[in-house]
Formats: sequence, C-alpha cells, structure tokens
Amino acid sequence: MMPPLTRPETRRARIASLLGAPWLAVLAGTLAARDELFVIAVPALAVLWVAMASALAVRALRRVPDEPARFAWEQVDVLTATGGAVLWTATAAIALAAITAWASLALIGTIGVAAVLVAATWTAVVAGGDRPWRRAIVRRTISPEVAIEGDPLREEIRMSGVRIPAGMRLFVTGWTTWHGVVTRYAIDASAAHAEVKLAAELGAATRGEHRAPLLRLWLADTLGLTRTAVAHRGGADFVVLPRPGMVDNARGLLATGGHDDRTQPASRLPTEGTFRIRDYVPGDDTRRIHWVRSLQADKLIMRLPDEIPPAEPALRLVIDNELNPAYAYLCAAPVQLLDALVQIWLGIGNALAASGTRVTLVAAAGASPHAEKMAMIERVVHPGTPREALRLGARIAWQDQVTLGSLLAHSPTRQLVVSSRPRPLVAGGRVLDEPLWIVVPEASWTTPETWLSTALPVVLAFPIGAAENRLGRRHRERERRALAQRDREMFSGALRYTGWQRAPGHYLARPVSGRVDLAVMR
Amino acid sequence: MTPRQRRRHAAPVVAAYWLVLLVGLGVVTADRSGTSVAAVAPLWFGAVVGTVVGQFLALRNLRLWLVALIVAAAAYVTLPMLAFELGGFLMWKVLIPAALCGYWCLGDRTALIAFWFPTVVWMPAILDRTQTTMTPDRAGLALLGVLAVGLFAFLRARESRRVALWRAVSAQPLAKASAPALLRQPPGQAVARASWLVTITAVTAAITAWLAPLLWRLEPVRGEEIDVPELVDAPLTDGVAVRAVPCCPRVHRIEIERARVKDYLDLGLGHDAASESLGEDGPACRACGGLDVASTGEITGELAGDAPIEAAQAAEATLRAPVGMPTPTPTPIEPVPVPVPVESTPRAAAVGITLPPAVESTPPRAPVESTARPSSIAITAPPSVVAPTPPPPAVTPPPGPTMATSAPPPAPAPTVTTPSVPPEAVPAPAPHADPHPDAPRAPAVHHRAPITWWPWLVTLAAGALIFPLVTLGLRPVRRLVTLRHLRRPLWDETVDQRVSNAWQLALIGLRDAGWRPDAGEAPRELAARVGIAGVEPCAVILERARHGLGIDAGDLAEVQRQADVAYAAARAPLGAVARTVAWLRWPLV
Repeated sequence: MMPPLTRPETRRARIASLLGAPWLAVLAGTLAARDELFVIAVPALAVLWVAMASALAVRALRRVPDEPARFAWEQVDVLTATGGAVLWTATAAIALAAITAWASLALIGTIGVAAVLVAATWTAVVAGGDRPWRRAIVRRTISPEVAIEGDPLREEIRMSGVRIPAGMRLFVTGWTTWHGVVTRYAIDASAAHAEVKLAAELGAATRGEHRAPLLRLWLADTLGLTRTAVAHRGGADFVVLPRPGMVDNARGLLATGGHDDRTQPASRLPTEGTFRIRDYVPGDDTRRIHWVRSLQADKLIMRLPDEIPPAEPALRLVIDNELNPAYAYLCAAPVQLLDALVQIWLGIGNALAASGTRVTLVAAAGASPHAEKMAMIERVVHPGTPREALRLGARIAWQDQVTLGSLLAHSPTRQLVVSSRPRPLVAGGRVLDEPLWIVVPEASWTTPETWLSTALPVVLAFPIGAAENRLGRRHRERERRALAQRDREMFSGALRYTGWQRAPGHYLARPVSGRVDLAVMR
Repeated sequence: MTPRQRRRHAAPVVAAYWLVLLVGLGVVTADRSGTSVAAVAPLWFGAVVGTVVGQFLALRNLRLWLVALIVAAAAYVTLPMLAFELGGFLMWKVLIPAALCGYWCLGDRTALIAFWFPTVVWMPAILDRTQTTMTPDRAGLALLGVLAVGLFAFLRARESRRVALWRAVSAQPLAKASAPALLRQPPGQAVARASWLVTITAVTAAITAWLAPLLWRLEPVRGEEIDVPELVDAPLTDGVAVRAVPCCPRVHRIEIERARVKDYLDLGLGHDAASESLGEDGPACRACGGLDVASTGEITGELAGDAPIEAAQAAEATLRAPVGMPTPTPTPIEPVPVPVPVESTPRAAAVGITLPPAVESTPPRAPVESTARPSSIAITAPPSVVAPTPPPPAVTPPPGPTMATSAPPPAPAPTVTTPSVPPEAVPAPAPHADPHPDAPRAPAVHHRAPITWWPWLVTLAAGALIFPLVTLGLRPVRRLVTLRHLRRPLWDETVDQRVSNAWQLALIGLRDAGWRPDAGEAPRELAARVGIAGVEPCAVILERARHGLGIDAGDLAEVQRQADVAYAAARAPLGAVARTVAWLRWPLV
C-alpha cells in the first residue's frame, strides 16, 4: 500500500507552528516581567525569524517550471514532526520558565527555539527549491524487467548529481505495486554529487504490467528538525507474466458437463457394451450404421466414434474479469482473485492445448500496455510457446467496459468461461446459451484481511521511538484497515454466488497442494 | 526488528545521554569537592539509578503510564528502606525526573524534554559561574558551549536511530534494502560536512548564551554568618584626620546575604550579594583605651602603654583565628611600626569589607591564615598597604553610628594593630530577625580553591585533540610507505601478489578521484565504468592472474606500468585541495 501523502491540515499546522511558536515563546518570556527580555530577546529572535521567513519566502515564491501551485506551500512546510515537537517543547519550557523561574527550562527553551530557527534557515538556504535536484539523474530499474509471477524482484536505483548539502541527509522512498512492499533508503551527505547505487529486494513478483510510481525524494537535516519539499523522480516499468496453474482433470472439460452430443473418450474394451448411438439422419456415413441395433429397433441406428475426432476440436476459453464497480479496492482480495482467475484460465488453456485442442483465450483487456480503453482480445494458445498468452494474462485487470456477454456472443465455437460468479448472460437483448462455467470460488482463492494487531495496553506496538507508535498514525492505520475490511465485504457481496445447486455439470476449480483441481459439480 | 537490533540502534543515543549526564555530574561534584560525600551522593544515586531504570523500561517498550507507575511504586516502597543519606528529598527530586527523562531519551518526539534532566545536572556548575548580573563568566560560557554540543550530539544520535527505525519498522511491509553503495564520490566533501555541525552548534550556543540568561531570575538564599570587626573612627590626633581604625575589638556578626539563579535543584552555591547585620553580639571590649593610629602609621596615644598593646594583639589573633578558637599568646611588640599585610579573602571582599592594614610593632612575620572554618574570615597581612576602597553598593551597612565600610579618604600606609579579645569573651550570637525566612539555605560555601579538576580536563581535552591530529599527521607517511610497497615491494612477493598490488595502486588513484568499486563488480566492469586510461589493461591482467592463467615477466612489467598510468590519469583532474585531502585519507581503498 502506498504511503499516505501529507494531508493539507497537517501541513497547515506545521507551517503555523514554525511561524507562530517562536512568537509565543517570546510572549511567554515577556510576560515573565523581564524588561530586558523584551528589549534584547525580541529583536534577536526577530532577526532569526525574519531570516528564516525570508529564506522560506524566497524559496516559495521562486517559480519552478512544471511544478504545481502547491509547490509554494511545500517550500514553507519544512518542519518535521521532531522539529515541531522540539519547537513546541521549547515554547512550553520558556512558558514554564516564566512561571517557575527555573534556569534550566529557560536554557532548554531558548536553545530549542534557536536550533529550530537556525536549522530551518539553513535548510531553506542550502536545500530549498529545486536546486538539489536540478542535475539529479535517477535511474530506477526493476529486475528482471520481465519476470514470472512469484519470482524474486530486485529494485536498483542509480543516482548521480544529487546535491546533498552539508548537514543534510537524503531520503528516498517508493513502492512498486498497489499492495507491494515499500522501499526506504537514507543516504548521508557523503553521497553529495556522488554516483550512488541503492538496491532492495522486493520479494515475490505479482502478476501485471506494472508502472511503478515515481520515487519520493527529500532532504532532512541530520538533527531531524527540518526537511525539504518532496521531489518525484525515477519511475519504472516492469512486467510480471502470470504463472499458469497446473490443472488436474482438464481433459474432462472436453466431453462432460452438459454436452451429450459431443464425443468423449471411452475406456471400454471392444467387447464391452456398445458405442454411443443415435438415430440415422440423412447424410450420415452409412459405414457407421449399427446394423444389429437397427434390426432390433427397426430403424437405422448410427454408431458414434468413441475417440476424439480426428479434426482438431476448438474451444474458446473466456475469462470473466468484469466487475462493477471496478474501482480500486483497498483490500487485497480482488487482486488475489484475479490472479487466481488468470492462473486457472491459462492453466486450462495450456493443458487443453497440450492435449491437441485448439484453444483460443478470450479476455477484455487493453490493446496496449497501460491502456485505458478495454477491448476484446483473443489469443490462440500454442503449446510450448505460450508467450503471447502470458502477455495477455499479464494485462488482465478488473474492468467494467466490456461485458462478459459481449465476449461470448456470435461465436459457434464451444465456449468455457472461467469466472467467480456464474450468471445468466445477455447480449444484445438476447439471452445466450449457457456456457460451461469453471467456477473459481472467491473464498478459496483469497486470504482474509488482517486487522491491525491490538497492542497490549502496557507495551508499545512498535519499538519505542518509532513513528508508528504515534496515536495519529495508529488511528489512520486502523481506519485504513477498517476501510479495507469494508471493501472486502463489498467485494465479496459483488461476487456472491448462491446458485451452486443449479449448476450441475459445471466445474469447480479448487486449490489443492499448489495445483488446480477441477471437479464437476453434482 | 529483533531485540538485538533495537539495542544496537539505541546504543548511540544511550551513550550520548550518559556522556552528557556523567560529565555534568562530574563537574558538579568537582565544584563541591570540599564538601562531604553526602552533599552529592543523592544527586549521583538519583541520577544514575533513575536513568538506568528509565532506559531499561524504555528498551522494554513499556508505555509511559506504566513507567510512571513503576517509578512511583518504587519510590513508595523503597523510600523507608534507603539510608537517610541516600533517601532524602533531594534523591527523589532527582530520581523521578531522571527516570522519566531516561525513558523519554529513547522516545519519539521527546528529545528536548529528555535533555532537560542532564541540563538540570549541568546548571549548578553553569550558574555557580554566573554572576548576579546574570552573565556567565568564561568558564560558565565554556560549560554552556559543552552542554550545547552535548545536546546536538544527542539530537544527532536520536535522529540516526529514528532513521534506522524508519527504514526497518512500519505498519506496512517493507523491502529489505541493502546499504547504499558509493560508486563515485567527488573528493573534498568531508570538510564541508564537518563544518556544518560545528557552525550550527556554535550559532545556537551563542544565541542561547545571549538570550537564556535573560530568563533567569535570582533567588535570595541565606548565607552563613561571619564575624567582622567593627571599625570606629578614631578621634583627631593633633588636628590630623586619621583613618578609621579598629579602636575596640568588637566583633560584629553579619550574615552574608547570597543570591543565586533559581533552578530545579537547590544546588547552586550562589554569589554574595549583601550582608545583614545580626547585631553587636561580639565580645565586649575589654580594654579599649583610645587606640590611635596616626595617618603616618605611627602608633600614638596609649599604644605604647601596656594593656592596650596586648589587647590589640589578642584582638588581631581573634580576627585571624576562627571564632571559638583559643587565642594565641600575645607577643610583645616593638615600638617600631611595621605594616603587616592583611589578606582580604574573596568572600570578605565580596561583602565589601576592606580590612585596614595591620601595623605591629613586631618584626615582620609570616601571615597567619585560618582555614578551620570556611565561614570565618581569614585575615592575613597584605603585601602592601591597602588603600581604602569604597564600599560596594551591595553591602548593607551595619547599624550603629560608625560605618566600617564607608569610604575613608585615602591614607598613605595606614597601620592598625588590632586589640585582642579573650576567646572566652565571645558570646553566642544573639537572636535576630531573619530577613528571608522562606529563603532556602545555600549549601555550605567553601572557598573555591584552585580548581583541581580543571587541569585534568584540559589535559584530557588536549589529549583528545592531539591524538587525532597525530594520527592524521601520520597518514601521509602511511600512504607513502604503502604506495612505495605497491610499486616496488619492500619484501619478496609472488607474481600474483605483485599483480594484485598493481591493481590496488590503480584503485587508490581511482579512489582519490572518487571512484569506488561496487561490491561484486568485476575489475573489467569497473574499468569500463570509469573509462580511465590504464585501468582496463590492469583489469585484464588481473583477471588472468585470478583465473590461474600464466603471467610472465612482461605481463608483470606491463601491469605495473599501466597501474602507474592509471594512478596518474585518475589524479590528473584533481585540484590542490583534493590532492591534499587524498593524502590524508584512510583507508586508501
């Protein structure tokens, strides 16, 4: 999940703290009835404050090409959480010093306010604006560039020309996929203008044609009091091809499951029983007349072959990636289920193609990588060279532009649909014949959402000092997980299928020991 | 993140905190080296135990409310069990904030509040060096600067830990990132980096030293009581006005009124501000017969008589000796007046007491000092005649018709012989009204003897400065020897090793220019990346040697020549500063 961006109200609070807290400190000190403070401290702090405000204003008002309007406020928002805490602690210390007259509080308060003002001025002067990034070259690669689902991915970032002023530290963070891991790097000033290589293990690759968002880069002083605005550099594209599932009982799809007029292989001996028979119709091959049965029935009976017809059978294997609404669910279940659908879809296609069936994969997908417009795309599966099919599988995403009925309409070829929600299909106001459904139950192929672990009331959830212990962050994370849980329920509701008893003869795909087991529903 | 990793990241923060705390405790203890252990034992016990407890609980990730509960329970349970010297109010006044600040020193966004306790420990040492004008002296400013440096080191250590936690801890899954690898680094960046922390520390410390004292406030404290002689004006003798001389050896008891800057711990020694008369409860004058001393220093009047001279000697001895001490036997004096220097202690000078020079009719003798009780005034003879000085404005004149500290006209070489007072004649101080009944009693003041710890501190600081300088100075020598060995081995080495030496020589030149090999980067890959003449041939021959292919004498000579070429070519673009910095760099590769 992507790290959250700075919220506007948080930014406003930080800017107000930076600009207002020093004057509150002066006011508190002045109320201590020390005229000298007013005479000396106010001008001194005013000089520091004006210097800081001027530096920030210059950075904010300087136009930077191709930057949005919020850029100006980002230049002023230089206070970190630590810096804000130091500033407000210092202000409180000065106020307490005015009350208690403790010299230590006065000392701590003064040094805290002065440190933050000096650090903010320094940051604005040496690291403000786009100056640190003007000559920066950030090259980001995800290797391997074309991976197979489940393979380990590695991120490598090469940076050069980044200006890291003395006393500053460069922070880099990024992510690759919606539910992927977050990468975080910190580089000290020794890498200023240097060529640096950063690397991280991203873990198992997830299917898709991915476009990793730009990295976020910013500078912060080594005391942790101030930071610069966030710069965005270094996007990366990479493709993770799906890994087709190993499907058991795929050959059963060819002759069972509601199509009695289709041949199926027999496992009987020649002396056992009879062949499949039917009445004679004009045009039948007379060599296939079953004379014994014809005499018994007093009409011509034709025997049917008990083997796969010598002509290559053909079928269309359709994946149902229609989902309405197809918005970005916060939960991971949609991604997991779609990966499972693609895995089963390609696995069945491979298995049938290997057995001599001409399989055409049908899906609604973008015509080109990262295309917004969806269209029906067909790919024939060639045994041994499934590259094109895998490419199509990598491009599959939930969509609501092309209906499943439009994928099935106007095709005389037998059609199998890999779906999580079998349903009556309509195309052009006409109810379509029911295809053979291969049902992928959502509950079997997804994992439940995790709730935020409840920390013991006596122990912090994370190591002491970690920002994740803050109440605000815990609250936001809890809210995010609650939303994910809500989305999960919505998603499950959208896919809910209760008509199992009305689908005899169709297939159910279940995960068994890492393989896909196809079972006929009775 | 494992507990071991957590401890490893927390170690620099804990170390910085303890360093500041222990140095502060050491300075405060050194300032009070003349006092008993009991004066600083609660401070040490509370600070050390509280900090250990707080940091221990923090490393266990306990929440603040539980830590506060544990500390409070510990106080409630163990208070009756502790010895009185350790279990006093001061100890708990120190231990509780020490525990909380020790906990907060590892917390999030609690840097400044955590540093308050070390500051409290440092403040007595700083405020003892702060005059009543709220201005720290040079030593005080130096301590303030050291404290500021400690704060910035603490903040830096905390930020480094925060960054480590940021990289390793999150509610979302994090990728496992390896350490950044520098492939090429411009030379000469270290100086700018080091200057930043020094600059920001100096600026902030200066601002703090300027502004923070404005928020300080004085609080009156009760000083100890001292006995001072009351000086009365002598009558005119032969029409010549004479300096006020102690005619009657009456001892006037005053209390040194002291002021100090207020802080959390009542440990400040304070500075003398004024004196408060406690009444004329000194010994009665036994034989004051009109001791007259002429302005010329000659003893006039009845001084040549019998009783007054002995009385004066006894009185002088009384002033020199602590109150209550046996009076030394008077020594007969010669009629020839000899000025005897009278030492005015700093404390006496602070209260505005200028003792007149003593004149004795005896030959010069060594001054007698009294150090038995700090509160007594030691009077010894000054090396020269003390010119009368105007009284400081802070002195409260004792009641009475005469003012011992009033500004008399300058008199050339006034002499005085102090009459003696029998010790048994010293009565107990009379009850008096306390001008500051609520003011805390300052700790017993001892004369600040020469600061014995200061030379040690200077020696340590000098050692800490000299050792790196010497090490830095030896680096060019090490580099010179190393380069010499890589070019022409100082001892016999195998051919493969000499090929490796040549490659190392090329790498040193590349490193001077900022190029660094990446981990796992093959030599030829590095050569292709840097594109510097001589590196590629070296890499080719090195890889041949690594793969066990034959290297003949020609290859060896070639690789050495190419290494020299690469070394020179890599360093060619460098400026003078970069070359100089390169000679100071270590390790070389």
